[in-house]
Amino acid sequence: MAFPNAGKAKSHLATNIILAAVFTLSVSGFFMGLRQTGRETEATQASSAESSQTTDTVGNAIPAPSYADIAQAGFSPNANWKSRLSDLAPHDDLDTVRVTDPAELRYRREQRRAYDGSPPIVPHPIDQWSADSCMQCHERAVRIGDVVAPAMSHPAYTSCTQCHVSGKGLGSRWNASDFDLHTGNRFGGYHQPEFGERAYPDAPPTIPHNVHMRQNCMSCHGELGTSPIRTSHPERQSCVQCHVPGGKVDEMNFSESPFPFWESLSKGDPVQ
Amino acid sequence: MSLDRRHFLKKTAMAAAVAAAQQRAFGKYENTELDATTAADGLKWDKAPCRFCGTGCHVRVGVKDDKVVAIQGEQLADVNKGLLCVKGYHVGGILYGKDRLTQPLLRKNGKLVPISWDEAIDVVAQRIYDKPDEFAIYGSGQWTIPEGYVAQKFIKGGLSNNHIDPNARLCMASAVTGYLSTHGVDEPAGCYDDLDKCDVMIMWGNNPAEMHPVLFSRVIDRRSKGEEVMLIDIGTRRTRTTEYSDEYLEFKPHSDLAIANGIAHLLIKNGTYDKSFVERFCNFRKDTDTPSLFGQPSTFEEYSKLLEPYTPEYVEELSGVSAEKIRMLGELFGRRDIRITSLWCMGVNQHTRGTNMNRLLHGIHMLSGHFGKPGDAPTSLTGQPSACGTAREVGTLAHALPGGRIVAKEPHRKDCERIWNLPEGRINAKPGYHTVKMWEQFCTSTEEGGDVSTIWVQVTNPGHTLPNLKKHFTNKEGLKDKFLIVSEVYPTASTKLADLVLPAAMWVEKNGIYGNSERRTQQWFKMVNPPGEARDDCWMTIAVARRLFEMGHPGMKDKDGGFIFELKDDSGAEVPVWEWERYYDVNVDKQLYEEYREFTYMKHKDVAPYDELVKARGLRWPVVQRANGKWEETPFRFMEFSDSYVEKGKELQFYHSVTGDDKALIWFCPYDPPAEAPDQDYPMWLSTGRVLEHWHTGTMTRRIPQLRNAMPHAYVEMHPEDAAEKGLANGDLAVIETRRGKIEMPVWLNGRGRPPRGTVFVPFFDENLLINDITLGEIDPISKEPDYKKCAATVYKRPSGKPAPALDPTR
Repeated sequence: MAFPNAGKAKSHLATNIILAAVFTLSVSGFFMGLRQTGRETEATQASSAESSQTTDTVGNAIPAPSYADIAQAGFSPNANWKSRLSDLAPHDDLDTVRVTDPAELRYRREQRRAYDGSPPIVPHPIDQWSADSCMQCHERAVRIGDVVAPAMSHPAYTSCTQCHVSGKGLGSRWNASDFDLHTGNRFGGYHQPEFGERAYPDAPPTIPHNVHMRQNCMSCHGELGTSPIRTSHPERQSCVQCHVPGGKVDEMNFSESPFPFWESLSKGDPVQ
Repeated sequence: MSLDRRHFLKKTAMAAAVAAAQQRAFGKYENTELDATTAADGLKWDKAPCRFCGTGCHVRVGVKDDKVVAIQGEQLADVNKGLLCVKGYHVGGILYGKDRLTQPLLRKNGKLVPISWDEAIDVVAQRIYDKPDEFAIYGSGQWTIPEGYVAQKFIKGGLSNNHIDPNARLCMASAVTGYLSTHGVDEPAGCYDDLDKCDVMIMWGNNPAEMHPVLFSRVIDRRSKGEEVMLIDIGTRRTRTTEYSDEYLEFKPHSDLAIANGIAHLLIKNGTYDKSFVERFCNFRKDTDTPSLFGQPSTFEEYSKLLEPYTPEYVEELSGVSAEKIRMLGELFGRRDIRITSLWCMGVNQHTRGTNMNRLLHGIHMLSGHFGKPGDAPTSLTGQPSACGTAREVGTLAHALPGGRIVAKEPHRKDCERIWNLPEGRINAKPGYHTVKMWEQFCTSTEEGGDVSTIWVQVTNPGHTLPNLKKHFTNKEGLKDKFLIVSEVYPTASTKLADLVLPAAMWVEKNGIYGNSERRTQQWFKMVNPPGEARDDCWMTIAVARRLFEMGHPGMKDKDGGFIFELKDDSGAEVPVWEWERYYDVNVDKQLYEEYREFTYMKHKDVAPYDELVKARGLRWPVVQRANGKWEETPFRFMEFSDSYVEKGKELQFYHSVTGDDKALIWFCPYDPPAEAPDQDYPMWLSTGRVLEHWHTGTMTRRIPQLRNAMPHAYVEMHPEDAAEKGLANGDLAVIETRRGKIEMPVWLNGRGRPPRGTVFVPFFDENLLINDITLGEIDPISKEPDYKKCAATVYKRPSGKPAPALDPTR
């Protein structure tokens, strides 16, 4: 915990403890609730029988499972979830505030992204049905113990799974073990430089990545961001006042394509 | 990239140290002023349409060291405005699966063994030379326009043989017959701009949240901006789309015809149809006793009378949708103050009455006047990136010729012979075999009349997608005299039975042009080299044609004795593009496309000049040159405010009208029972379809780790009560059995889709769990498109005692 002000840190600690308790309850309850088996769906069916012909945009109420069913793993979004905080964190796949090494952070990033700029895969099982459950944690950043659920980095597009899919499959017994993301494919993604440029020492660095779909800086750099990239001055709200996009892709003018490939091809050069 | 953590940390620590040292030495990083498309680290960026679905999103492709290394949504593209779906974001990975096919393989003694390209071309040419009439090409809506054009010219213009059909027959043939029999000419009048303007969007048996996610977001994102748009999902199972919809109307499979008729019935009964629109712009039709494309004339009076039985109560009885909801739909269509867009895709097209259902959807939009204004549109979506551009426009169908022409019409054949410089009479007037028939003939022994002995498959995977696979594909095994040639990028269900496998270049490994669902033609350039000896499909066809030319096949010569694919350089000298080393000496795509362009004027589908396409992120035809020399696209066809082919003052003009009076046709089509319905022995409906992560047969997406991890295998979705009755719990193995056979797979309850009682759903992407082994194979009588969405099945728990099959995800 690297808060500059000791007194503030203390009050944060107290807040964190309370928050942790609240989130333990809500998160474990939430994921337990997602889990359904054939037997416990009567409640769902009862409610959907009523609503099957009517508007149903918020989803059905999810019945609580019986305790006997909790241990069973089926195709359930919370198959790998534990209800105890101590089990939940630290979780290797998840962002934790304990990460302090920039290289470690970068490693985690790259494990979740085919290349810089690709939408990250979701490191936990998901509810396959509705985006509501994504928003429970990711609408605003959430911290449970050391684990952080980052806030969305872009405005509220509401079809989360259009771009973000789970790396944990269907949670079925048939794909219980993950296989390496890079098994069977030689795609080597491009990753952007780690640091922004500075015009001179101590100048505010430029943003080293493209900002399209990453407009909410606080998603990664806010108070719940992992420490190597957390802002040292959270009180300043207007990030791009001082930090300008340095990502070459965003800067590029694509309106007149110069067709680099065809030019080289037609000159008889091999591609590249 | 399989760095382990330790190496990774080491590597990045080094890089950081070097950077820090540089910073210290120079005070700042070296200032790299880059030219427009070369970014930091020597990345080159260029545009291309996405390789997957018919939406036609544009991507920016980042290339470094002859490899695609990054993808972005193209912010300048009208279609997707910078957004993609998870498949699009990972499209670069399709090139790099470790099992890419890199050399030609010939089956010898049951095994596929590597051979040279020269030998491979010989083998193909010899098969064709020996029996040119028994040769067929099975192509694709993933063919680029030049690839399809070359195949079309080769077989119809060169071999005088019309046995060429695309997989699009399995996909949008019913949409084609729907448009043809309504407007007199194929393809939508509207475009995606309708999605920005509609007040109500009705999705007919369609799940765009998963299948056309970028288009779906285009609509639901309007809600985030505070706009109101009402979504109505008319479907046979709850899907992610249902979650976003204001209304969900669940109908009994096949009864969508009744719902559409119910709407028309109410419009007439309540007098809320658009009288002036109908009088000015519509004629009426009904089918002949034997179903036909253009049917027979009818009248408004007869139409009204035929619709009389379709009261909301009768429709409720047929469809299971309450009379109240049918009235709600009737009232919506009766309103003049709102704009309604209908979307449909495979639910309507893969239907034994697919043509009729397409006609009815056009019909209710015409009858109610919800046509001809932005936001008021009946729009069929396509599943493949160039189903429209290649299959439909180049006309790579058994009965068609380029540019909306058909082989049965002499003037059309003459047109082609003139443009292709062929002797008169070269083109055969008899249509070839459509897809299902072609494969049936191929899988029938020669003695029993199977008169197709060689099929060349390009850019598609029939061993996975044909319905009732045993009858239409796997029966080939063991048949003498049958020879299957498959051009492919990866081993697939089709290459398993192939006698010759030709390794193909794909996507940005070659030049290409696609045409998407909204008449938008899109071009891209080759950006990386294909692996090993993989080569362009277009080259393969030209090389085989050249070999036949050298063997003396008369069809490979034009009227003047020249080769039918004569391509010239700037100086006018012929370039031997059939030699792979010389193939990229000229832009073959451009020359073929410019030749093809002449075909597109007759039906006013004028595609843009190649050089204009190069500059644009796709252009919607007709693309017309203005007085100031500028080329302009046409977002809305037949509408005066947009389409320059409409005569002044007409407002709306169907200038290829079937009746020749600039009017469209409103059809009456009755509800007919399905080809196979649940009964005592097979009491459930079996429906098949796609999932978000995998595109069609998964040959590309299942090789992308992110997508495969997210959706590792097929499953059967069923209602929890049906499952409980059978003693099935989540994840249990179930047996699904139809009259064609049976298959085992895990049950998924309350997963992504939620079928009602009595229905099960299985996605078809999984090569290891081929649901098409047991699908029906009945076809629409007009479009010849099979129905994959419904057949009768029984589902039961897998008998115990049998060892469970290995469902290892890394298979």
